[in-house]
Amino acid sequence: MAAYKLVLIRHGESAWNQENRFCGWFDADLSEAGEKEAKRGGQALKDAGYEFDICYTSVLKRAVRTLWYVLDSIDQMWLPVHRTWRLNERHYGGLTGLNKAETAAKHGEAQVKIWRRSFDVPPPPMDEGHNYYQNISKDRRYGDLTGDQLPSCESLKDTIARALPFWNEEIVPQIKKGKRVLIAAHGNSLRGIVKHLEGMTEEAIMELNLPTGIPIVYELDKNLKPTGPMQFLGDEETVKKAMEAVAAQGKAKK
Amino acid sequence: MSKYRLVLLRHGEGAWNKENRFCSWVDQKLSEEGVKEARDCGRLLKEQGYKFDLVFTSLLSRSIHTAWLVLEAMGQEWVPIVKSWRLNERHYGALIGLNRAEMALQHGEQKVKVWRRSYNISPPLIDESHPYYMEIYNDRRYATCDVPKENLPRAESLKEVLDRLLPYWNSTVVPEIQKGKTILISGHGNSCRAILKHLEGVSDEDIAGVTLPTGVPVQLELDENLKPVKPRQLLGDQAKIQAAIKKVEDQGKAKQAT
Repeated sequence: MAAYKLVLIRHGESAWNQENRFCGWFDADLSEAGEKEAKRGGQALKDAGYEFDICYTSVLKRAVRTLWYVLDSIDQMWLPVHRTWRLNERHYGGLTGLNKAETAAKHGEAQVKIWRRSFDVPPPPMDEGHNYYQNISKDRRYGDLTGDQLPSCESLKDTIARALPFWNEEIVPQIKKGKRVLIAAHGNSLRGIVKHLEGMTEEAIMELNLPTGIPIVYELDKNLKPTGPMQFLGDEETVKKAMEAVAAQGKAKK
Repeated sequence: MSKYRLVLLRHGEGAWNKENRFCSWVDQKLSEEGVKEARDCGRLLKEQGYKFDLVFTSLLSRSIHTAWLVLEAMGQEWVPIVKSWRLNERHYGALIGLNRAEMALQHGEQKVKVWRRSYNISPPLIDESHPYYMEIYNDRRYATCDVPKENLPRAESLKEVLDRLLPYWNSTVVPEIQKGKTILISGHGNSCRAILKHLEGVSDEDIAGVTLPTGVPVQLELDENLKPVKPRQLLGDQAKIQAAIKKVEDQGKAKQAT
């Protein structure tokens, strides 16, 4: 018997996704397609009659704006929203801004494969010479972060390690108070929550690519254990495609 | 010597502004024009180099949407937004939904002006027979306030707006200003006027003459006691601002029969 329901939504296409560039902490905006994805996700929640009490998102505009589109669709713009760097996308360090071809050219295919397949090997750090260093590391929004907290790069393990304290200290108490929570965030920060909820292995979470712009619903028991697999909300075809894409991921040849 | 800077913004046009109807606590959305006003305001604030740390809005969608559009134009979507019913527009009671021009024709421009601009005269209370009563009081957001729903207003004078706004101002907004945060208040005509009355010490009589145009940021520079060090500044093209002020003032006047 589900005591709680939790909804996650991964933002859709950003301008840099379009260009196939490592985005990470660069504050790329949603592309037009990404805006449509957010609206469609909002419509799915509206059609299913979802009500929330509190929302969480990152400090990156592609997630914040996705949340705004959703709140507008479900006519709940008045909900309290908490923004946190801890729900940011994984920080891609020195790879930020490079497209996939440039990355392979710069570091070699073998090294790229290691970074892609590793849970705990971080990419090279973003140092002061990096062309996005000022833009990201010196951004006002990170002014309160300590030297230890502000990353210069992250492995997936690092991303999860800084996301989970927020989940445990801020989000879980709200869920347990009976607040209906909506989280709009990024592929890797949401992987952290999913891995934790489902008790997935490192290998398994690396295989999982959450669909974008589609509300992901978990029903949780009173100990916050999922009572079943994640559900997707949307029209029949969208949901079917998303489920098939996820199922195929584990089988994809690398 | 100016220690703190604060920006007040009255949201832009909603569909009912166009029809000259008292909107108040009905959750109208911004019209296309209102969306444009908010974006223009954001662009202006960006050009002027504003860096907000915190935004306050009411619980009404039009003030929240205005804040979103302003932050979007400035690339500051990450800035926290705090929402409270205590910044809501003035509650116009039984006059909610009525057309200002029709009212002016029925009751005379003067009476309408009194209701709109007097300091302590409340309009008649809204009750269950009113067409918008259920829409307002059944809304879930009013079950989340810091007073029980039955204690929320049923009509307000401007004085009553300040009475419910001031505790929030003092407990929640002032401490942030004093921490040196640059604050944007995305509010409504009357909640902004109430704040101005309080900060500038405008008299009960004189506040009637204060008109805030929509979509025009109002900059206040305050000393360490939160007293203004200079007159409020309406930011932007001055000719546009005068036109915007006139537009609001004309809304109170009766339309001639056409």
